[in-house]
Amino acid sequence: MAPDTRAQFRWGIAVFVIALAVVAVIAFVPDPLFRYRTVSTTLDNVAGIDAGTPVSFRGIVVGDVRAVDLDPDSRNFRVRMNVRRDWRPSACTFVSAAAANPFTPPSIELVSVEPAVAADAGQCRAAMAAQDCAALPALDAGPMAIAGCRRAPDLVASATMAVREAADVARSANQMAQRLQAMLGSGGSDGGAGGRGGASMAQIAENATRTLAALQSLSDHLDRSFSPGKGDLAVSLGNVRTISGKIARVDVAQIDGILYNANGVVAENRANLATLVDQAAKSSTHANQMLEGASASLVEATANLKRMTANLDALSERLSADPTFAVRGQHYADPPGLTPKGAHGQ
Amino acid sequence: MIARMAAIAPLLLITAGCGVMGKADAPVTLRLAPVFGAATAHDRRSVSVAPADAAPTAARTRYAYVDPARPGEVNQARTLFWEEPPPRALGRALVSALRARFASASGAEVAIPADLRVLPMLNRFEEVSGNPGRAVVAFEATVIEQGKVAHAGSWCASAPFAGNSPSARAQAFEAALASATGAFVQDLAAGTAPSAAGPC
Repeated sequence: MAPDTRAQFRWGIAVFVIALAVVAVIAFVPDPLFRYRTVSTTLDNVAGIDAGTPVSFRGIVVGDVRAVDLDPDSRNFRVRMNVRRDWRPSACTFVSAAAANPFTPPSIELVSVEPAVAADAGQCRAAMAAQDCAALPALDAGPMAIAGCRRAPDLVASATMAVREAADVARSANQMAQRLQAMLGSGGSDGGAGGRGGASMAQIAENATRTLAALQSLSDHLDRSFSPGKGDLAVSLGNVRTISGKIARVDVAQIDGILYNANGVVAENRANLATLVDQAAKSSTHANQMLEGASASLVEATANLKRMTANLDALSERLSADPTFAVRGQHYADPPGLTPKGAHGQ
Repeated sequence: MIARMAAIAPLLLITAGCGVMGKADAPVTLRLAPVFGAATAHDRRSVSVAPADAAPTAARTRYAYVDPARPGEVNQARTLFWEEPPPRALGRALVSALRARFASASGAEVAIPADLRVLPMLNRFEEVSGNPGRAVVAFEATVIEQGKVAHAGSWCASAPFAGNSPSARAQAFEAALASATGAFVQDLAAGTAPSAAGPC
């Protein structure tokens, strides 16, 4: 019996159409096997976040971003995410979006606080605050709407704020030094010149200790973090474009301005210190001891701050001139004649 | 998947390239521990040493060197590092040297009143390359006594390398550091002008 060519042709067309439909479904339907559910959250800043950005939960990727839409009324963003069906939010679940620095892409993290830790709304708010999450007003309601956190600034923005804070603390230290000078100059520093003078001096000494401790801690931290070649500027090759776009446009000018002011304050502090130390020598033992301690701390804090601003200054200069410096690093060569480790040749 | 592989491929190629081209850097960390002998004469005054300020290159833990043919250029070594920043090493060396001569000497970590306050500034802490090369340590110091500048000047010392190894270099720096700080202490105790100043 001869084959029915018409039937074979029809079957061939049908198979082809079915195959085409399967390919189309796989290619164009986001979740053809219904393995994901859509949840939404609210974010205030979606820099670097778009469709496809991975969503992780306790270290594993559980989905990705499906769409990002601007809400015209609140000026926040509604972010829809496809999340695995086997992931279920707890009663206290929130979304955090952050990037360590402008050179690395942001990540979206689902955070679930277990009911044992956050049994009610109040405990949930406390748990969120403990994890530096300031919740945004939600654009959606319902079980699949998850609270979003106000986005934390990245490393360079943090650095900008930290330097500004350091400059403020340095300015406070400066004012403190000027007040001490004024008191010593008016002869009220003795502690024995009347109860009011003694109380003021004690108060100033306490303020001075706090201010200097804050300045010292901050300047030390910044000094450690921003020394070129150290800290958090380890970046991947894939982010070079991001670096060249962002660092030059946003941050360098801002940081430079703050550095200029901070350097001015540091110079002023050093000038004040010379006067302070001079006056301390003329005052009583009690005031002398206090001032010796304060001036030593101020010298150290000022040295740290100066070193930190110099490092940050050098780093921002390098990055503004050549954004790929952060990736390529600097070319170094050993001194001539250096023998390998452990050798003792002449 | 293809996009991910395309992104990873260059990294793999670079990693493989690095592996083929040679070994990774092996940083060497140098430790300084200058030793000061007990002095014959003791000074009854107390001294406090403020944290040393430093020129930018001298403040780094990365080892610096200068080619005598290009004395205006400071180079930084690829694999040699100091264990602690040179200004801190200078501060510690000054305290150790002063303790050998004065009744008491303390660093910035001990904020106590003292008869003398030393404010050091490290200008050079570098190798002058050559055959043999030498270690050069130069610093300025201002000494304040009774609210007035009692002593100020520059001290500089150098010591030749006994070899080309990192340890030989560290030993030369120890000797130069001990020599410069020792000269400072001697001048301070005697109240004389800097004896070790000048080119070195």
